[in-house]
Amino acid sequence: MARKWLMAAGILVMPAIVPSSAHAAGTASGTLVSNSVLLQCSLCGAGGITSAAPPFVVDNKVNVSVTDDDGAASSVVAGQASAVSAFAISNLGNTVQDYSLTVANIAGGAALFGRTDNFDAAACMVRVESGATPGYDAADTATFINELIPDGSRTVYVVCNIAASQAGGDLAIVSLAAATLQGGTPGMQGGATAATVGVDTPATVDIVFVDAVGSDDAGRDGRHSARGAYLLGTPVTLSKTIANVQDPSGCSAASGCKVVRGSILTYRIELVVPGAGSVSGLVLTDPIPADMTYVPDSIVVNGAPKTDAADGDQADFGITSANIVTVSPGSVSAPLTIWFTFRTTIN
Amino acid sequence: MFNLRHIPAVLVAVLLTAFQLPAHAAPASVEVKSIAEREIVGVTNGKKETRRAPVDKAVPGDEIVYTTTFRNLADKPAANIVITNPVPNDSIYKGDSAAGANTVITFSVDGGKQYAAAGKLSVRTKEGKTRPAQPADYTHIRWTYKGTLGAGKSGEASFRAFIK
Repeated sequence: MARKWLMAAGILVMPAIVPSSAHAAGTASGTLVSNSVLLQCSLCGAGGITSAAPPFVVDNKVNVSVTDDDGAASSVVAGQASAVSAFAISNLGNTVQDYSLTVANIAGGAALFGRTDNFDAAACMVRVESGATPGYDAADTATFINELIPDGSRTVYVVCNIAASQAGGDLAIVSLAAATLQGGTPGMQGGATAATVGVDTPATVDIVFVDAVGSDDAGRDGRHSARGAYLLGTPVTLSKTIANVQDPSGCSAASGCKVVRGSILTYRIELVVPGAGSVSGLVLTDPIPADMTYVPDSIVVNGAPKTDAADGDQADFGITSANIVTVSPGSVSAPLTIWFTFRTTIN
Repeated sequence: MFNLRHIPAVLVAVLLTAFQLPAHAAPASVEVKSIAEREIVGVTNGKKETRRAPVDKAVPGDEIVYTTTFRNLADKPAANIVITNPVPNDSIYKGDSAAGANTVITFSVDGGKQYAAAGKLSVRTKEGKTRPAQPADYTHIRWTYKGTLGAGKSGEASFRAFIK
C-alpha cells in the first residue's frame, strides 16, 4: 500500500472545492465555521473516531469607503444652481448595510486639487443615484443608502448652489461622510451600529469596525469620508477687430482709408485667458467673410508670419477647413494672450 | 431447529452484522478532542506575550488555530494512527502551519482521495496546464503518527487557517 501511495504523489487533479460565499469582502457574517477531525487507529474501530470543535459564527466586519468620483474640482459658474460633486460609496464589509450620508462645508484655507478653499457653497444636499439615468437628475431623490450588499457601491451626489457673487478661481471644498447603519429592512433606514464590546459570543454575530481613516473621520468608527470641490471657471475674452484698412487709392492712416471694392482689410483675432491652468488642443478659427477673398500667406500669429500650407507651423488657410483660417497653438498655459492677423480683399 | 449449513450466505452476513457493535457505541479506547482558538498578543511588564483563547470576534482574514489532542485510554499501545482534518469551510489553510510531534504530514487537493507531501502536489488549471498546489488549494490535512502510541500516552496535531 505504501508503494501505491508513492506512485500517486504528484497526480494532476482539478481543485475539488468551489468557495461557497467567497467575494472580496470575505465570508458573509452569520456563516458557521465548523471543524471536524477523523482519528483512525488500531483501537479506534472500523470507522474511526470523529471529534468536532464547537462551530463559531463569522462576525460582521464593517468597512466602508467614500471616494471622490470626479478626480478634479467640478467646474461651475457664478450663480449656478444644483452644482454637482460626485462620490462613490463602497461596502467593503461582509454584511448588507444601510448608510446615512452627511455633507459639510470645509473652512477656508484648506487645500484640494492644488487650490485653496475661499468660500462655502450654499444650500448643499445629498442625493443617491437611483440608477434610472446616469448623472444627477430629478429622479435621484434618496438621501440615504439602502441595503448595500458586500462589495457593492453606489454613486452619491453632493448638490449645492454657487452664489452669483463668486469670481473666477474661487474654490469651495465639501466633505461627504457615510456612517454604517444596520441593514436588513429594505426601504427603511436602519438603526445605528456600534462595535461589540466584551467577550465574543460564538453563536451570535458581533460587530467589528475595521474602516480606515477618512478625510474627516477617524479609523474604526464605522464611518468614512472624502472631499470634493467646486471651482469657479475663469471667463476668457475673444475679440475680433479690423486692425487696418488699405484702399486702392494709396491712402494713409492719417488721411483715412475707405472700405470699397478692392480695399485690403487686416483682421485681428485676440484670445486672452487670465488666471491659471492649462488648455490642451487649443484651436482658433476664422472663416473668410462673404464677398471677400483671402490674401495668400498673410497669416501672422503673435508677430510671426505663417504659411498657408499645413506644414507644422500651427497655422494654415483652407487646408484644415476650406476658406477658413485655422490657428492651432496646441497646449498652452494660462495666463496667456494669443493673437493672429490675416488680410482679405473686398471683392 | 435451524441447520446452519442451509442458511443462505446473505442471511448469515445479516445476522453477523446485527451483532456487531457500531463504532460510536464502543467504549472509547482513544480519546480525541478538537478546539478552535485565536492567538492574542499582549504586553505584560514590557514583555510581549502570546496566549490563546476561544475564538473571539472572528471576521474574514482572521487566523484561527485548530488543535487536536488524542489520548490512548487503553492498556495496550495503539498503532496505525492517522488523523485526517478537512480544511474548515470558508477557510484557507495557512501554509507551513501544520504541526505534530512524531508525525508525517501530508495534504490532499482532491477532496481527500489522495495525499502527498506539500511540495509534491499539483493542480490543473482551467486551461489544462498544471501548476504546483498552493495552500489555498488544500482540501484536507493528514497526520500519520510514526510508530505506536503507548498506553496512557497523548499526542497533539495542530494547524492554522484564515477565514476567507
